[in-house]
Amino acid sequence: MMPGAAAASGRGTGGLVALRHLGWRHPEWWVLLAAAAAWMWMIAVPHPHASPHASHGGPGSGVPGAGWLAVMVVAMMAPLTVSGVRHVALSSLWRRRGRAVAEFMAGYLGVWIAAVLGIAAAWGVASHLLGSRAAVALAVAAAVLWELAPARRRQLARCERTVPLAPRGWRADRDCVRFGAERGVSCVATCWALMAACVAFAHSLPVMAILFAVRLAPHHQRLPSRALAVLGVCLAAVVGLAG
Amino acid sequence: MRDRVPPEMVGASEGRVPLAGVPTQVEVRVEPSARARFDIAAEAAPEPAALYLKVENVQGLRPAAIGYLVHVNVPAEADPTAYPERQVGTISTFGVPETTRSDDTHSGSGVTHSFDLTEVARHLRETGEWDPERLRVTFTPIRREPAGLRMDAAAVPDGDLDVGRVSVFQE
Repeated sequence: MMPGAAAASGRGTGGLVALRHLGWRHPEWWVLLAAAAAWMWMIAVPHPHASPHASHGGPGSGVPGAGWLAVMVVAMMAPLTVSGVRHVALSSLWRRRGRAVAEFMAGYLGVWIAAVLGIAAAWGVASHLLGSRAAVALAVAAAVLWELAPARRRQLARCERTVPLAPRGWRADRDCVRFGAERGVSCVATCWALMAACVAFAHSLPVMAILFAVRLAPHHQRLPSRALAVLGVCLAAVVGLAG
Repeated sequence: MRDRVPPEMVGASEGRVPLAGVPTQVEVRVEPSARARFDIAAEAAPEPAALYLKVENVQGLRPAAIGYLVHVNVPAEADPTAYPERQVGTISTFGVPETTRSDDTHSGSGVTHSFDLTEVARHLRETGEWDPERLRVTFTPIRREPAGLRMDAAAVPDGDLDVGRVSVFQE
């Protein structure tokens, strides 16, 4: 039942109605739930190549499989899609709202999963050519420098871009997928270096948690602080090397 | 306290709408499943809930006018300025070029405007001109000339502004 009609009819018990209205007001709830589930899965099932020595070229310094990387992308990046999910959901006809959000997420996650596979492949080449220690140092330096780069600020602004969506038909499907993919491209352009640092530290959970906070912080700061972001990257590096 | 739900989109335009040097018009088709509630002129219809008109993603680098009057359901070929009771608001082109470009502080989305359509809808209902299936939205350019502001259909050089989508929401 559409929200307006249901609200007018007053059907349902108080608790169920309140829960339903909460879902209507926060269409992003299931995306955040999926991200939380992905984090819990990664805590319960560390990736097969994770080890305290992974970043130093020791045993277990390989790259995890595509499945694990996909779960990691959902955990790390899905929470950053809230504004895009809300735009798609609240700008779509009621009957296709869930579908619109799913299409948006498919476009977004598709871009990110492809990007992470590319970053993982690049890491493999770099660590083979330079050795793990030098490759880790390079990844951390790249993350710090990219946080300070003016070009990154432009990409970060583009992460909040909205586009008009066709209301119905195949054009609506196309627009939602394309919007998700465009958001994914902007997000990759903003966060590729942080993701490379995650790969460099063999997806250590503490490192991922710190870098996740670094990425999430600008959305909640009135003036995103590059100094705080750099400190966060350095903290992640220290934690990764100490681990 | 009544738990409020967000307004629901009941219809939107297809394709971009130019904002030119002459009035332009777009039709917003209401979704069939929403027409019953949107039919505020029906005999047994309750007092209409709030209605909103959203003009989304106004973008462009060269405005043809300093602003645009926004009217709904003006008869075809009529001068919109002769129907002030059907005007829902005004769009200013101030800031549109700046927000169209993507830079450190702008995402490149352009400007989005929302208007309260409720009173105009009530007027159209009372005059028997409310159509539950569609809404016709007209954009009339406002030009600044030496004698003052001019709002008419006289030809002026066209810019490149357009509207991404016009949508209607109902609470």
